[in-house]
Amino acid sequence: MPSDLSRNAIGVGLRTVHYAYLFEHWPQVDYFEVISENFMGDAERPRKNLMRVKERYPIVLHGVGLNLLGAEPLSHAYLDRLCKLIDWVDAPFVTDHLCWTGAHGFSHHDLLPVPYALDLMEWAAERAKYVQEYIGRPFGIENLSSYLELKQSTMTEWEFYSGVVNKAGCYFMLDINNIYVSSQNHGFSPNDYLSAIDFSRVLQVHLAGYTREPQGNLIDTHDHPVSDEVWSLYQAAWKCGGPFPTLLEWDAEIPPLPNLIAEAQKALTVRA
Amino acid sequence: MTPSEKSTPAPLPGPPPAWLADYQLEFTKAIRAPLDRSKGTLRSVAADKQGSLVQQISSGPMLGAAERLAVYNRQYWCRLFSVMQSEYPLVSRLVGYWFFNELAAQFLLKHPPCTADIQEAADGFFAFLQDTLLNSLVQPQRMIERRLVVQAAAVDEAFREAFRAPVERAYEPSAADAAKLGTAQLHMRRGFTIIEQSYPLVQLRKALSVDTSESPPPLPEKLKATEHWLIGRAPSGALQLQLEETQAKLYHLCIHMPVGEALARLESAVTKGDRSGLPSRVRVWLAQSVKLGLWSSIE
Repeated sequence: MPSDLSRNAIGVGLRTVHYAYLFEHWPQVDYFEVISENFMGDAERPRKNLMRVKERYPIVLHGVGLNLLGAEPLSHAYLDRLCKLIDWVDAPFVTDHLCWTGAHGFSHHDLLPVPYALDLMEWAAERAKYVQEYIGRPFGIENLSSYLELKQSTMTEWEFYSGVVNKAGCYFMLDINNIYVSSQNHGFSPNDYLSAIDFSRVLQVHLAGYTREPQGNLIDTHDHPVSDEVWSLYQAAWKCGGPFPTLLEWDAEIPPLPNLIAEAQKALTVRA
Repeated sequence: MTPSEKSTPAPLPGPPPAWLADYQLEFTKAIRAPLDRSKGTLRSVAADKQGSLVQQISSGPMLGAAERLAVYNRQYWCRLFSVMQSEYPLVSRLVGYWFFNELAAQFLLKHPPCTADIQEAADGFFAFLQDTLLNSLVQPQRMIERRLVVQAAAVDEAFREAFRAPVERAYEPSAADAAKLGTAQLHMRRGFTIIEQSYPLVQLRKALSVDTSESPPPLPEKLKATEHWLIGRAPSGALQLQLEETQAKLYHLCIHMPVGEALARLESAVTKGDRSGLPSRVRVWLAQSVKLGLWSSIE
């Protein structure tokens, strides 16, 4: 287990709207998480901003474009750019999602579901193992919020997820909000999900807010405070397998940074 | 373990399960299907047309199989519309989000995103507008001239370039450079664009950046004279500097030919009355351009 970040650490997802406040006040935060792809290009400004941040805070990298479960070969150009970024920020760990994000030459910029099948699980584990060894850092895979299930599945999501992580020897990037959203959309018990997780392999936990649509289904919008139900689930996870680094994501209708940090630090109360 | 201390890499993963590519192709078709606009909202009709994929999806506690797939169809387009709007804020506000999304959808159907950087999904939209927008836009209660839309897109494109340009050192002249300046060619630094506008679009873009309303602003009046602006990078963010017409011409000429030739061309292009004061003004403009970091190198 990586030791560069305290297991009790509480962080927030860093977005461009936070820079003005951050650079003036340098608030107390244990660490920041950034979206890898936002810093993998050559653009000067994002890198200058991140340079200032990394001088004062630990940074972990969270990707949305690895396309772990895409049918196409892993992109070495992508992995090489990611490796450069990892070295530059000295990220203690790197995470991405258990999903596909593009196919047949197209990038969909969404986290898309798959059938939970044994042959796919074994192949995904091979890919995850390869990624972890290629990047040379602990690699965590995040469970996604999903809005549909496929009849071809032969196992539960948590069996598939655990199977990939265990077989690959990588880590869980466990998103508690995603567990809750999917549990509501598909009608399973979120506690069943949690009880299948080997918390000794949890690199980090994500929290976020969701939106309930008029028909009752939930969408992982990251534009609300963390719901009471998700805090309860977080509490259960902490009792079951804490400590683990905890990070709050907020991507739309983003509140000022102090409010965001305060929302993340509610985790301290929930843990007590 | 750091990247420089990598162990022997794992063997390259083998091929995926045979069914995966077909599944992802069907899914790709479903989510890329255009949203229906005929009823005044963006409505997914993809699921109706994707029978075989819908058959593979279970119904959920709240949504049927087709409705569940529709969530992804809407999400695909709405996310991309949002990126296009943020990359082209002036165009999207001027023409209104509803009409802009239609333009964006036409563009994205022809040029689907292919890279992991979502902002690159908007690459080529300016050229697409120039090529495909042949007439004025007729909207309820107003008509927007084609030239206005294309100029607005040029302004947005200039800011995109300013924000996305890679690190490039600004040229710092040495004493030795002075001697060879006449025959030297200056190279413009990435991230800088000189634009012409017949409407006050740079000013409008700035005003709209602090206006949280979503409705289209009143159309700007045409300017009495064309304005020239330098858009680029500054240490604190974006530079937006109005240039004199002759100054803009000087910079344009310097981009394309050696400085000496540019000065000769400029001299022949100005009126006799302006010619006498030109050398001192040129010196000020060239010094200003260096101070702004407009050039990357000289050769």
